[in-house]
Amino acid sequence: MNASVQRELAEAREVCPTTTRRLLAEGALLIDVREPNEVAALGFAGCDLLMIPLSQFETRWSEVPRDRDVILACAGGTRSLKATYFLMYQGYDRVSNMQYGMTRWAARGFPVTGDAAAAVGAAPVSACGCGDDVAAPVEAAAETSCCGGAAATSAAGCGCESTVAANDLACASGGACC
Amino acid sequence: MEIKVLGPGCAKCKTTVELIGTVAKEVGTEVQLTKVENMREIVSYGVMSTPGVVIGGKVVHVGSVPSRDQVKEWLK
Repeated sequence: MNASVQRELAEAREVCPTTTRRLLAEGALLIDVREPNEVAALGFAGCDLLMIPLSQFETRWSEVPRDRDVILACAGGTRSLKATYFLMYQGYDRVSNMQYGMTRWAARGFPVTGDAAAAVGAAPVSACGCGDDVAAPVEAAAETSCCGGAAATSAAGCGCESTVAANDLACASGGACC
Repeated sequence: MEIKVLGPGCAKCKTTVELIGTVAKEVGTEVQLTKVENMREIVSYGVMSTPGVVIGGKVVHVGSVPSRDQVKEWLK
């Protein structure tokens, strides 16, 4: 048994799928923490990608480079947030979590392998890490939803990067930024 | 003795809390038992697999419901 101790963690930086695409185009690495069966059904495409399932993350986290920006993603944004905090615990400082995960990525029509229609309405996945069936809330993929509440229209991206504590619920604003 | 159980509120985490409380009563050890359900705080202990048990600020167990004997050992 390891005897790890507590380390103060800052609020994780979070970015929406639209901002994620911009950062990936600028050289960031996407880390997909979904399990192999999920990846086989529907995968992220069109970007530099590393797959480390959350179930293997404790043993494989050191594969994540420290010298470039990395963005973690999963189906809805909850498991990847956990992995983001874990990397922060390990001393990584160039990490972000992609809010809303593959569900929003696919709903936005961003590049995927597989059947994108399967992502919308996909079954929620447990994020507790203890093998129980605690469902992570999945956001509705409403066309009018936004992320972070401030619908910016900057050409550089949607401007919705945040350090707001994650919940996988879509905000109710009328914007459609990401 | 201050004991924290790390977990998001799943059945195994609840069982762990109940087990520690029960064993503490049996052996007559006074414990301050706290449930930590916030993800950021859970991972701040370096824990991804829950339930986790923290005693005296150190993680002593992760990933399963501990055995009754383990709990007894912690409470000595």
